[in-house]
Formats: sequence, C-alpha cells, structure tokens
Amino acid sequence: MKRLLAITLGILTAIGGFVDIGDIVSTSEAGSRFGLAHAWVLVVGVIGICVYAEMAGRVATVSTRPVFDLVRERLGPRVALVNLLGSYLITLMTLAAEIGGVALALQLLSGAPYLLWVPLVALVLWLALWRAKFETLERIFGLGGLTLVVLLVAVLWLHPPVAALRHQAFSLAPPAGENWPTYWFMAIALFASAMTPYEVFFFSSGAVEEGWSARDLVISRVNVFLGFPLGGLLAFGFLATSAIVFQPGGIQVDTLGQAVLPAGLAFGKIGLALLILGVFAATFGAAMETGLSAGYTVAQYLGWSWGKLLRPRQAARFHTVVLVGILLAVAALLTTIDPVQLTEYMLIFSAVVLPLTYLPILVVANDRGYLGDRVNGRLANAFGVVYLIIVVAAAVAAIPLMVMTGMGG
Amino acid sequence: MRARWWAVLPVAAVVAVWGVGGYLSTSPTDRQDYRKTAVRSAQSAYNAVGTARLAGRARLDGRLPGPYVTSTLDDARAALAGAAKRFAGTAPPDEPSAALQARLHPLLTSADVALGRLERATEEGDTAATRAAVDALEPVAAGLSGFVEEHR
Repeated sequence: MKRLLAITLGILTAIGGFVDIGDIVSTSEAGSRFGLAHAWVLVVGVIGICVYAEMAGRVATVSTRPVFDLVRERLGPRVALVNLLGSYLITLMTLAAEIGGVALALQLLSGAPYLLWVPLVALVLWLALWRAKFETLERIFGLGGLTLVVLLVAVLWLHPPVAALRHQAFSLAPPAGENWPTYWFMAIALFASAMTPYEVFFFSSGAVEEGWSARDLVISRVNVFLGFPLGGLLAFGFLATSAIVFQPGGIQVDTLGQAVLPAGLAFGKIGLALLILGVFAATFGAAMETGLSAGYTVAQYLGWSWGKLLRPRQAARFHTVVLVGILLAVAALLTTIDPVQLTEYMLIFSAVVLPLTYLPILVVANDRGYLGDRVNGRLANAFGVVYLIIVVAAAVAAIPLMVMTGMGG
Repeated sequence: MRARWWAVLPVAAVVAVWGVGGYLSTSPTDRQDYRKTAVRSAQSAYNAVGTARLAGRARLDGRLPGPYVTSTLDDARAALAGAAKRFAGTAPPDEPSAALQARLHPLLTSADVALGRLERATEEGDTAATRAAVDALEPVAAGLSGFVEEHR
C-alpha cells in the first residue's frame, strides 16, 4: 500500500512537474497563431522526452553513476567539456526564465511589477535548495502544478468549435496569413519545450542520489511513461485554450497574462487564481530543478561531491555553483530583459544544444560495459535513432529559421 | 593539429556570426523591410488592443480581479509602446513607404489613447467609463486588423 502511494505520488509529481515556463510560452503562442496545427509536435515531443528520460534513468540506475560522470569517461574530457558548456549555459538560461515566470505569476496575483519580485523569488529559491527538505518541496510544487488541470476543463467550458479545431489538428499546415518558416520555427520551439535537458539531468541524478536499484526501474518507467504524457496533456490545455480564445480573433499571445486569460473567461476569478497558482507552482518547481541541474552538471563533470541530500558543508562546491547560477539568473533578469522573450531564446538555443546531451546518453545506453544486459533493446534503439535524427534536424534548422522569421515574428 | 582545429572552429564561428549580424544590422531598409516592420508593429498593437478588449469586457462582467487587469493593461501598453518605438525608429525609404507610415501612425496613436483611457477607467473603478473605453477600442482594433490584412 505504501509502495502504491509512493508510485501514485511520483506520477502526480511528474505530471505537475512536466510543465514549465517554456511549455506555457510556446504552447500559448503556437495555439494563438496556428490553432491546433502543432498538436502533433506536442505528441512527438512528449514521446521524445519519454525515450530520453527512460534511457537516462536506466543508465543512472543500472550503473549507479551520474550521467555526466559517464559521459566524461565514455567520450573523453574534451568532448564532454563542450557538452558541459552547452548544457550549463542552457540550464542557466532556463533558470532565469523560470525565475522570471514565477515573478510574472506573482505580478498577475499582486499587481506589483515582476522586477520587484525577482530578488525575493531568488532568495526563497536559494533558501529552499539550501535548507529545506527537497522531497517535500518537490511534492508540494508538483502537486500544486496539477491545478493547471483547470485549463483542460476550460477547453470544454469555452464552447470549442470542434469541427474547426479538428480540421486544424489534422491539416498539418499553417493557416491563412501564416507561412511555413514560422510554422517550423514554432514547431522547433514546442519540441524543445518538451525535451528540455535539465529534466533529464534532474531525473537521472535523483535516481543516483536516492540509490535506485534495478528493482526501481519499473517505478522509473511508470513515472516517465505515465507522468510525462499526462503532463503533456496539461501543456495541451494552453495550446487548446489559446486556439479557442485568441486564434479566431487573430490575437497573438506574447505575455503570461494573455496565456492565463482563458481560465478567467471560463471560470472567473477562482479559475484564474487556480491557474496562476498552477503556473507559480510549475515554474517554481522547475526553477528548483534547473537550479540543482546547473550544480549537477558542473559537479558531476569535475568529480566533486554533489547532491540535494548532502549538507552544504559536505558539498560546498556544488552548493556554490547552485548559488552562482541563481545570482547569474537574477543578474540577467535585472537587465530588464522580458522573461517571455528570454524563454523564446532559451527554447531555440536549447534545440541547438540538444544533440550534445542526447547523443552521449544514447551511446552510453548501448554500452554493455556500463549497462550489461540492460542496454537498449531493438525498440528502444529504433526510437532512439529516430529521435536522434529529429533532434539533429531541429538543431540544424533552429538558428536559420530564427533569423529568417525574425524570431517567429 | 587536432588541437589547432579545436581552437580555429569556435573563432571562425564567432567571426561568421559577427559578420552576418553586422551586415544585417547596418544594411539599409528597403520598401519590403519597411512594410514588414509596419505590419509587425500593427500586429503587436492589434494584439495589445484585442487583449485589452477581452480583459476589459471580462472586468465589466466581474470575472477578473483588479490586480490582474492592471497587470494585463500594463503589458498591453508596454507592447504598444514597443511597437510604436520600433516603427518610429525606421525611416520610410520611398514615397509608398511614407504613405504606409501616414496610415499607420494615426492608428498607433489612437490605440495608445484608447488603452490609456481604459487603464484610467479601470483604476478608478468607473464602470461607465470602462464600458465606454472598451467600446472605443473596437474601431481601433478594426483599423489595425484591416491594416495587417491589407499589407501582410
């Protein structure tokens, strides 16, 4: 019974923890401009993160070593350094975007400018990562993120034009007034929002730290294969409500305030408050994960002691990297860069560096020296290779499309 | 030899990005570029006005809390100001572009005035003024939408 409860809690946490500022921004923008024409990208992205996280979780669980440690050993320090730099920079950008997302959610609740909230959010985040019991916080914010389900109910409540939405979802083409380069630019941003490397570092590092064994692989797979797709459904809520409320009027979404408006239109003040609470929980949870992931990548590469379960004194360098990451994120936000714009850039650069983190995990997942008979089977490799092609194609196309479309403009 | 390649590749990439960026940022604006800037600015203004209308109407129905509406209208005005600044920062390269400027400029000005009126009315909690301000956004939105459709 206790085990069942743990599994259920794990799944619920994975659902609530799946959505972050990248998902919210990219799905709302895509829905407002293209309706449901990108729904298939969300499906492709969710399957992709399942493939990626399952491999990383298995590698970490079977080898009982963190992913970056293995990458460095398997590919050599020089290649792994390029890998580290790419991952670290993207994780930092994501951290800044998440802190900005939390501050924007607080602005919507209080009316006070988000820049006033940024230092306070950063301070609470640092204290939480330094002092608080992480598992409790993870559960609280993961479960808090479940209030995003209000958007899925809103989809039904807002009298959706079912025939038009069905047509959009199956047309796989941009609607009138939009062009193909922008369509693909948005597709890459959406794909990258689902396949964020920090989620995988966090997931696999957690597996090592909590001492998962081969017996726990089942739980890991249940979390991945149930939690992430259901989390993807929450992200679909933003896509669909934007498609219903904004797309028919030709209004493009580019602020968090717009993204949550459909909940207010459907359910009034309570619906809006629930959704903003969900956004707060999702982005704060993601900020905790990205803050830790920044520390994980550096500490694992350099062979330092690391982990959220270790006291700061036992892993001083790891905690210093986490603190420096938070300070850099705050500095970036205090330049007054728009957090939503920062998120858009983060998604595109995340797509560019994704092969650097995806390929090594695919290589290690096929290495019998580390995984014995737990290496990728035929099905896992088939998916792994298909996604390698997709990931590389997205990485190659991201910057040219960004320039061609003027950031999707 | 391999180490040299490692050093040369990033330097070459930085030089290439610098060169392309420099060319793009200093190349003169032609009629096509100007039209694109005008349409982008009009679309941003339309997004701001359209969102303000939705939020204003919902506020009148008592469906949205004050802080949220304040924040949303702030965002709308900031987006409009950004669009107007981007448009004003580009000089029309020829006669047809100047005509485009002459059409869009008043639309952006009336959008700013209408949004300001709605912001004041909601801050003061004046329902009649809020209703009037929301209604006043309608022709502005239609004008901006027509501009985007015509010149896209």
